[in-house]
Amino acid sequence: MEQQYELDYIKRILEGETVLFSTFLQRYSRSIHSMIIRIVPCREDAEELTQDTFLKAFKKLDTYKGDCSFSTWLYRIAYNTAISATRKKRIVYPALGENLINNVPDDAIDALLNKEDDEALFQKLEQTINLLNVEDRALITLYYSEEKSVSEVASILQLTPENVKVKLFRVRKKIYALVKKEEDETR
Amino acid sequence: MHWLKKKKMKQDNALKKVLDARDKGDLPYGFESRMMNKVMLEAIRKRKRINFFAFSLVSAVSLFLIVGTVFLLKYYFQVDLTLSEKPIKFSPESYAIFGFYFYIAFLVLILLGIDAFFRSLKHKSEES
Repeated sequence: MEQQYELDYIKRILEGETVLFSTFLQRYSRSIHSMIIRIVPCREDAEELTQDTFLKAFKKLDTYKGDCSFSTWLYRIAYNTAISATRKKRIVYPALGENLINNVPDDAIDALLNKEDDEALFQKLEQTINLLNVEDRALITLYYSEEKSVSEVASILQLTPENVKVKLFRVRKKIYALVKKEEDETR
Repeated sequence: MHWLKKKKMKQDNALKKVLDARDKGDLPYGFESRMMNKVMLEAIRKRKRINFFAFSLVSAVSLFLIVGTVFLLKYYFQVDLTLSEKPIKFSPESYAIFGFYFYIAFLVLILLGIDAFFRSLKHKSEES
């Protein structure tokens, strides 16, 4: 659906044709839910947060001005909803020293994150992703899994593209450091 | 940021694969229709809020105008606003046509009632 069509639909919904909102539900509910469930790994919570996202979107529909795509706007609401829900739970994530993260060599990260068919590594990565904080998890989910561009991710997370690049760079280092830390501990 | 520059060659395949394999958890059956019901209810609530706000605004403006008018008439134009109550007196002739007035008023009420009844019937059939 082109942005112009979406803007027309939004205009009509605001004029009272509420039933047209189902078009947006059909189009985006799965992708929004898929992003939320990767940030909040509890099915019930994820479903509830997906509902909250769409209700908030409907309530704030008049504030959508078309300065970004509707999906980006929706993802931003979903991200903020998921982040505020997880903040209430006050989960403590493992802290890594700045030195440990900064001293990771780039080539070693590239080599690790591009390994093919290494089931042991995949399992470690899976565990490591669970140790990342929600913001980092959302960032890599949007960039790698939802395949959003840096500028789209920036728009969703309300950051500058440069900031997103720096954060992605740091998350990769963090993942590497966590994998190595776990390997050292199991030895 | 050399890593992003050579992104086409280096896709972080392992990370992407793990992220893709994570639980995507399909939405339960009927999610969209349940969601649409909530959206519809919210739309009704929204409309009620707007109506209530409009009604409150009109009431507040009307009250302000009435108070303003009274204030202006009383204190600016010095108009005497005290109402002189004259007792109502009925002549013996007027008593005679009271019955007829009541009969007409009763007929009007009956006709209005029938009208309201048929309107609600029509409304219900349109809704169903």
